[in-house]
Amino acid sequence: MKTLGRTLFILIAALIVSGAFYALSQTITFSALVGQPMGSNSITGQAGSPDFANEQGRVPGDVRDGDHEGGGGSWETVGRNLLQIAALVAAVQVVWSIGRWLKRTAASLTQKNRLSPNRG
Amino acid sequence: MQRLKLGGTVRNLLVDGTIFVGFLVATAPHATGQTIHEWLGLACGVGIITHLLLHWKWIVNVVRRYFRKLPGQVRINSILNTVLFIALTLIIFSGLMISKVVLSTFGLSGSHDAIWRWLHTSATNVTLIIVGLHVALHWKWIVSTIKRYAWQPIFGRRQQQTQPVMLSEQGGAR
Repeated sequence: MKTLGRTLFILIAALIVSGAFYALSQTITFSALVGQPMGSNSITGQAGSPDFANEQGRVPGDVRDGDHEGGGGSWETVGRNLLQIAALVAAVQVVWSIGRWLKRTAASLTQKNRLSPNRG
Repeated sequence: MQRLKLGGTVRNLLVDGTIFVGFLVATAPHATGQTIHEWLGLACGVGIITHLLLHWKWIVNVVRRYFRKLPGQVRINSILNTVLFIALTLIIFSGLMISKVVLSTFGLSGSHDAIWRWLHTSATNVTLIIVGLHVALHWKWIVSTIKRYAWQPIFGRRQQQTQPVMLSEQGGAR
């Protein structure tokens, strides 16, 4: 029962988010901001969906070398996305270790300064 | 038949790993085909609800303490998770709006507005970045859990098996 209530809560939250975006999408300001006229069928005229990340805006019917609908070419996209995530993880780790190193250095400098006989 | 018992950590690792792989595969509809792409996307939605239910206590605790003192990393994590939830909801909602397979199963037809396709693609691109940051924030947990529950049981056992053999070989040589 608890799980059901929590699931409902999550679904309601998702519904609120969806409703907000739906309302937003109906405004002219939003479509002007996005650059896609409302009711236009400019991208959706063809079947299928474009691959995501790095392939934004590519029309599905637009077949390139080695890439065909339902074929293996687009597994490259999965690899590319995985690499992008790995790069982000690595970047965050580097930033964190620099931060930790700076903190440690600052702490040891403060300690040295406290122990220094020339202090004060 | 004995029921398989999963510890909380292993269960979390399995659920999270499945969502991660599912999400990555769903980002390439050209590779999977439209049908798998749409159903996999919906399945990811179910996986995300499961993930949220498994971490419900953490969510409640953070919401309760949000306007009081909260460690910096927890605060960053909670903001990132909120944005991730919004982005994932948007992906699923816009995906449903332009759906060709899932909606037709229920006798419905999707919208042909270009705006939904734009939202679907943009939200996915944003989500990829947030997922990367989400993984980065939990990297320590991921590495230690994989080491403990996947690496050590397989390779640790193999090491234990090879060690006595090496010792007995040494004994034989003497």
